Amino acid sequence: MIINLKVNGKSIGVECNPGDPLVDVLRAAGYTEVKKGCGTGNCGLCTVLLDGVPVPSCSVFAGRAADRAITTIRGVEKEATELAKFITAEGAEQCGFCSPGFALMVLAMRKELSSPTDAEIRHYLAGNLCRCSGYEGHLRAVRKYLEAGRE
Amino acid sequence: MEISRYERPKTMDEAYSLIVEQRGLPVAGGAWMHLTVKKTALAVDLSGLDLRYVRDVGDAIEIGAMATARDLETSSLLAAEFGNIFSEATSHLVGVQLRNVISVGGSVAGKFGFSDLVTVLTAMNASLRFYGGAMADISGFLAAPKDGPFFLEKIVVKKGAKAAFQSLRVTKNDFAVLNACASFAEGGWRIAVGARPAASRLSPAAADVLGREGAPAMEAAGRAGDAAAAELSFGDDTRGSAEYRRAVCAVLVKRAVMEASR
Repeated sequence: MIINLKVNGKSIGVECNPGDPLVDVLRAAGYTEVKKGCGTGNCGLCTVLLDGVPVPSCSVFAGRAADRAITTIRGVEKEATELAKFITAEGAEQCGFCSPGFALMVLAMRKELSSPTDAEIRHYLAGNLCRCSGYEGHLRAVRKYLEAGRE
Repeated sequence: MEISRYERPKTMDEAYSLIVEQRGLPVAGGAWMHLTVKKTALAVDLSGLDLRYVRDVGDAIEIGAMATARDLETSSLLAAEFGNIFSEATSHLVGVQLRNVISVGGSVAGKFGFSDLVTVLTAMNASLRFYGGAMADISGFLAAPKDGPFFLEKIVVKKGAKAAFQSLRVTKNDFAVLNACASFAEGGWRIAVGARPAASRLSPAAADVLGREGAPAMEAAGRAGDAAAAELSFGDDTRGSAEYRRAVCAVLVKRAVMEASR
């Protein structure tokens, strides 16, 4: 069946089964910036914003996402580019495969938590796995990014 | 998951008809469904209904079936009434993203053995309200064999309980090897143990040991833990053996009782 998706402000009709994972449907439609990892909601690679709320798109049926606002990293390019400066400055980018999901979570966290502690940052980002970095660079980058936003 | 027909009803009556009369498969959060169900003729997406809420109704808190794990984790209403127990029972579950998807109703209706939240609701004697008027206490619902389709609308938790949750995990955000909750309300204890790995069960023997004493001594809490470990059944899986779980049960129940009685 044809499902209408609103991705980054643009409506598209996609041919799929409503029970297909949203990540597969998005990638087939060309939104390959949404990365696929575990397929069980554990790794955070496939994170998108659904009506502004971060969700693992592997664990959301395409049917449920129909006619709702989906935001990928491309939809927040300006904010993500700003965040990327802090990520690279702290050596936290490495292979980059986790970066789209990670960046979307940081942007969501900035909206949800006004002034998070290190423990709150770690807790909020615990669903984003990175096999390269060890996370310390990420924490430094996020802390500095949030501090810069408050200044 | 292959779905032949997908419906997102706008009214409760429509949803009831699709689920109960047409035997559709209700999709609450849907976070685990794609891992367990390969194919269905009719999926009924509950996200178009007004079932996502946590609200005060005087002597109880009502939790809509579509409230997410994240809603419970961050609910100031639940925190004010019950302390951090709902946050404790949800915040270890993988990441914020998945907790934005997981629903309370799905966890209860699915009788998920791994669920921390179901263990807490069982100890707190939550009652289940089904659309159409039927009600059930959660412990009876969990223990009953599957009996036809149902449409879970909300979960009701009475105010006034003092409860504490304990779990043991191999890694911080993994499912628990075992979890336990102790709740004292209306002059009596309810002790629930979950992730056995089967779904939560009450331990009447542990409650009997504690009697009506709201602040039991550590020795009595220990005996309650031993009673729960002796009474309940446990199984093996990749997270732990039945024997290991039985040993852990005694400790977690003791700790939960001591924490709840503070």
